[in-house]
Amino acid sequence: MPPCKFWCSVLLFSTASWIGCDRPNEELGGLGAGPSANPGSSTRSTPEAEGSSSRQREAGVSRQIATESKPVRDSLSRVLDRKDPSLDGWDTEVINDVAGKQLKKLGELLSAPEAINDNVLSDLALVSVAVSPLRPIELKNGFADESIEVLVDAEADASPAASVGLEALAQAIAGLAEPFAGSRRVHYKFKVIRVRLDGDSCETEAYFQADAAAGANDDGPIVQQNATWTCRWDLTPSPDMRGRPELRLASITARDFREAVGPASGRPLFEDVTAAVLCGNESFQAQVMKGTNYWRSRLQKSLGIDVFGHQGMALGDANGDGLDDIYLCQPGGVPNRLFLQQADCSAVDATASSGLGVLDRSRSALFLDLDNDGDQDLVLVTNSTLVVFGNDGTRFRSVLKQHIGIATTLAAADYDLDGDLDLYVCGYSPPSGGESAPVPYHDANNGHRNSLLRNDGSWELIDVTAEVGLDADNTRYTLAASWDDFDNDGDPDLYVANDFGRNCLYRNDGGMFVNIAPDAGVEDISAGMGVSWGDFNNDGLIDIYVSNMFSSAGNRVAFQRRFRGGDDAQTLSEFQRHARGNSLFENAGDGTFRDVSEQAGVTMGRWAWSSLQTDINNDGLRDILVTNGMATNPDTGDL
Amino acid sequence: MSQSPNDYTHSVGDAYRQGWEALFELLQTGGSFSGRERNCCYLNRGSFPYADVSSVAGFDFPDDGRALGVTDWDGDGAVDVVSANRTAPRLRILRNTSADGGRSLQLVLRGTTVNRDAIGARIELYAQGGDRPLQVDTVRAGEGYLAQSSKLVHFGLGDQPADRVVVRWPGGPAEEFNGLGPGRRYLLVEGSGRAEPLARRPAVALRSEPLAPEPWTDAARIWLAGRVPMPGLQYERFDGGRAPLLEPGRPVLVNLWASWCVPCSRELKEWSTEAERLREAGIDVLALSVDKPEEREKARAWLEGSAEWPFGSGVAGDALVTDLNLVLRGLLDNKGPMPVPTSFLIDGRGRLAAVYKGATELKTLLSDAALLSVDDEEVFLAAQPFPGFWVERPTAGPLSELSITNELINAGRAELGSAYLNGLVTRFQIEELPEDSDARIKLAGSQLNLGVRLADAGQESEAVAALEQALVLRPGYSKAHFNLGVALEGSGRLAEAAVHYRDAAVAAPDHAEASFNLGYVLSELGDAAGARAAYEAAIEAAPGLFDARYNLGGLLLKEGRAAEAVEHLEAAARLRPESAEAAYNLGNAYLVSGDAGRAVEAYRSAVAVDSERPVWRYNLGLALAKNGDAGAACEQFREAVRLDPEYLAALNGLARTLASLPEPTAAQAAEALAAAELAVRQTGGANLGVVDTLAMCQAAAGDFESASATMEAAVKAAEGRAPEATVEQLRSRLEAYRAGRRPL
Repeated sequence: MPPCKFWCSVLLFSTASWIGCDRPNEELGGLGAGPSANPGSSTRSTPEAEGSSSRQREAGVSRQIATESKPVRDSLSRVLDRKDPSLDGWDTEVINDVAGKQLKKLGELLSAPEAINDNVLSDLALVSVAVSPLRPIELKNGFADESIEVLVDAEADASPAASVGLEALAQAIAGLAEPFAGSRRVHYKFKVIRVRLDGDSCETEAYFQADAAAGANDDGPIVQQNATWTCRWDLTPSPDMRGRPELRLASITARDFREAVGPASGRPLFEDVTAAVLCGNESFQAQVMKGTNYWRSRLQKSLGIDVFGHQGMALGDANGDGLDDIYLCQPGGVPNRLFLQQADCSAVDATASSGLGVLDRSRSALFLDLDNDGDQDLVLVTNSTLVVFGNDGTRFRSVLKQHIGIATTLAAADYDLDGDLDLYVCGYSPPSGGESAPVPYHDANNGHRNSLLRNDGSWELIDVTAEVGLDADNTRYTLAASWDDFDNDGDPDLYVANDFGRNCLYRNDGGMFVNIAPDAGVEDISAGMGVSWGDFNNDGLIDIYVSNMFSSAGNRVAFQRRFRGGDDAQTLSEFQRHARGNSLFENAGDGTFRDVSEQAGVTMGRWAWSSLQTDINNDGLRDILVTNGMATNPDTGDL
Repeated sequence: MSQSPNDYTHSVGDAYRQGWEALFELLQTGGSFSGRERNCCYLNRGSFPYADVSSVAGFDFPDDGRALGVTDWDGDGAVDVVSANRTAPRLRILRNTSADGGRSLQLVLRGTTVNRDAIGARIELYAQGGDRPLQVDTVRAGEGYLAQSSKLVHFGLGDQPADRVVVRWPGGPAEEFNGLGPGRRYLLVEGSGRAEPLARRPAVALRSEPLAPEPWTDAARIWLAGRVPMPGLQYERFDGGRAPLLEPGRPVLVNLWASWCVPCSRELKEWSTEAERLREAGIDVLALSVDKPEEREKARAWLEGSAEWPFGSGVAGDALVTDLNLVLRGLLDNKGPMPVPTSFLIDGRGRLAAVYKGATELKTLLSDAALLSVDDEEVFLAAQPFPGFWVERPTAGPLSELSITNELINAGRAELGSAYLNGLVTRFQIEELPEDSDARIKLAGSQLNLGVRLADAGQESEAVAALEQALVLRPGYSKAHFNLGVALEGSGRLAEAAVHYRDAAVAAPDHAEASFNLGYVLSELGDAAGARAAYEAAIEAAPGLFDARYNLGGLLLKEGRAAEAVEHLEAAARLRPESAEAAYNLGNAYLVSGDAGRAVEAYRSAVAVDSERPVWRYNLGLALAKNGDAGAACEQFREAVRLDPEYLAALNGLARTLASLPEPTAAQAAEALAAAELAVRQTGGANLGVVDTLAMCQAAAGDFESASATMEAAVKAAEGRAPEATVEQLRSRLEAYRAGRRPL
């Protein structure tokens, strides 16, 4: 079985995942004729007597240099070069790097406010630095319940008064550190999203976050601060003009400051009970506590294991006892697990007796009552096959296998309202043989097709994609889809999130579908990875939250003038949009949606995969949860 | 990716894809990418913006999170969360600790005529007497990413006094359920009209404790699911000779060790002590030191002295270590480096059975030795750490070996790779397979890569043979034709190259580079019409291919079809505004087609990029002169002469332009004369045109006597040699000079 590669991109700026399948071969590709270095015109200058007569001229014939494409390890060095921004020619990336280091020094001071002194600060800032408070002096309550309190700037509209000097900077940092009450472990993070270069000074804009359990013993309430910092830096070039410049703060201002505080008990809203639920099982230590990297270092890749770890999960009541159980997908060679919840909230590994211990690389599954007989069946997508397991009340038995290509997310609904559940299967990269890189990157249209499978009873699933109109815009790199009735007309509509480009919203018109995403304003061009429906503003209309990839590097770079200099404004803005992050679309009720992502402040979900709108604090408002992170590997130096 | 092609050509596409592969390689060798990112939790405050409470809510785990699902796991009325992660823990279960479960309402829906799971049911929540829903929700199956949440419908109520829901069953009617109370869970059965309260679950205390995933270690036992032959490798004996790594007939454990490595010496000593047991189990050990050359004697002394080593030994140099790692890279997705020690267990038929990264326990070795003699099925089963079943069992095909082949080839080990590949072809009888079989196609790709590698190494004829073999495996393989074309062209076999380029273009009409190279080769062969057609095909496949535009423009210009050349050279200049050559040739095309004005512009932009080309200066001068700007023209001619003092045409042009001025100043006349004299000296008076120019200049300076004398000599020289018309023209000029008049 060929190893399937699910992979995620980003050279210059991050993007989403890419499943490039069936390519153990890694064909070098044709001797790609790289656009030749133009050898120039070989103009012969044979002089002629008649000065004014035109001479023999010859347009230079440029030779298309048939350079071989280089094998992976050679081009790797080029990618690695990007880790040192100064080699890559993006001046602003050098600034980002240096500014990031300076901000880091500032961040360290949050855990050691007593170390703030002129010596330290003069390395960071000019003596004439202009400082506005990093934590506003006047804060007001922005939310409060028993477990979470949110403080916001009371005078957000007024421009904050700036003071000048290192002493003012010292006060601003100390003021910011104060709520952490002496914690030595303040975790902080800066994400620089814009760099503007302007002669001998420059400006950065960065997201700031700090959090810690307050107090010297880390036993106080958890405190979390978020803000956006604009820093103006004085720039001193390195002596030889080739090394890195030095940056010192000339001014610093913070906006959108928010401080959230947990309960005084220090006990957060969510507590990790994984061990309490699962530790009675052998598979807890042997499998649940082993990440993808463990297996890909031990199992032959031909069993179906890769570096990307796209193995999902389904919650559902597998045994009909009224309690939700968990089905976990695993990489190839490691069997999927079924954990059955018990009355005491623990869960028992029932894989062996369930008939669900599938060894194939599995991506996603759904618990569904496909035959309406009162128990939950299971639909699973493995490497490239859809498998249906019928539940006969005691055990799951394979009742259908269908080759489906490289599939990702599953979503079920009764699209034709005939009383049984139909399946939408998301496809990703094309099968082997073709050119399998997404092209063009920002709006790829060479992906695998998605399928709508109509349930015809008796475990028959019929591919009706084309006949219901779902083959429109159906060659994108789809990672996720979900059904809901956005127009309240009684039938389920379908939102499809595509990596490398535009998403689709297929309106269901009595069983036939039309992609209305462009008109509805929900194409959301970016690296779409997850879909979540929910009426966040309780107006009776279901809204959409889409997981995308937030990339600070992408934000910085795509806004530089040099980035893809030859492209038109449209393409450029599409690239810029690509790195923005998650999107929240408010249903306007007239068939269109408003993009309220920025106002809502919910874009920075990092490299987001799943997201859900759910009410975590029972106040009647749906909150947002996001899982993220691409690949954490042994090497800590992130690209 | 800033390098992503919009206008996709094969070459650009390859480069772009290599970018991906490079990233892929980086991840596979242990690099992180957006790793350790913390999960996010945004609190809806009822007004924008949401509050980021990821840390405060205890949700900010740094897992590589994938799927996310919610349910009320413990039945306390608050939403709990389960995530599936790439990293350990693969599952993380988070309990919601809030004690406000009384402010929720939970519904389990059951369809009777609609689908039984009631997926798609819309629930509207109403306050008593309210006519507008407080909230709505839908039963969904599949949302987020690779995930399914519970089908339980959960409403947080806040302070809303909700007691009624309307369910719009999917494809069924709307149905109202009354008398609901907060803090409860109800079963709503379609058509029953009654909300049935479900029993409350007793409160359960789930202990929370932080999880501690094991720290990362390189150490691993890798038992292969199917054995693969080892390539033909050699090691160095301590005495300097070379020996094959494998002796047929007996299993061997090839151990890479170093004298500085404590775990190495520990296991070597153990194996030495227990040598008899290992031998009984059928295993010999070959201990190969990876020490630096200057440490090898020390290593040998320790091994033969302290360890009393009873087995074979020697040295693994860098090349052998690299090759062994390439084999491992072909088998594992984790392509990170090998630690020391690493051992390879090879069976009696020279096939790799297992790899041990890090030190190996004797008992593991002994039990694995017993597995060396079992059949393929048992070998496969032994590779699975846990029981389970396959929906589609991985086949024991040639793919692992292909993967090793490619590692060897891509690393430049052409000879090893080639031998390995040939073995594979024979063993799997690849040529007997149908032409469209996966293995044949992939193998053709390996042959292609081998060809490229051999060509890289300067082994032209071997490269050609490998590429021809690729075509045997996969007839009509466009890339193989193309590469053959390149290889043949490189050896000067242009006509054959053209055939393959043509085949490549026929097999893949969108392969613009194939058509382009065909065009180039044909034009070298003198087939202008063929070259034109090929360039046109290249342009059709990739309208943005600069080189095709440029060369086609050049070709047309050469054929005197300047007007047609203009179109393509304009396109070339547009595609690559920074190309001075394109601008220059465009200038030529304009000038030849009679548009001196545009020619001036084009030349100027060429000269702006490269101001040091005498010919460009000269042509700009010509265009300016034609455009009637004699002063500017002279400036360019002077520049051309400055850059190349012997530039005859420029000297001539300068002299002539100055001498043609209606009323040249004395200085101009003198400059003209000086230039013309230089030109005549250079040509030894043999060039009539230059002599004619000299006469013009003499006349312009008012020296009609010299002009007449010069012209007389010219007429004499021309008589009988130059065409009569020319001689006649010279005579008429002589008449004018004699009359003290400058000819028109």
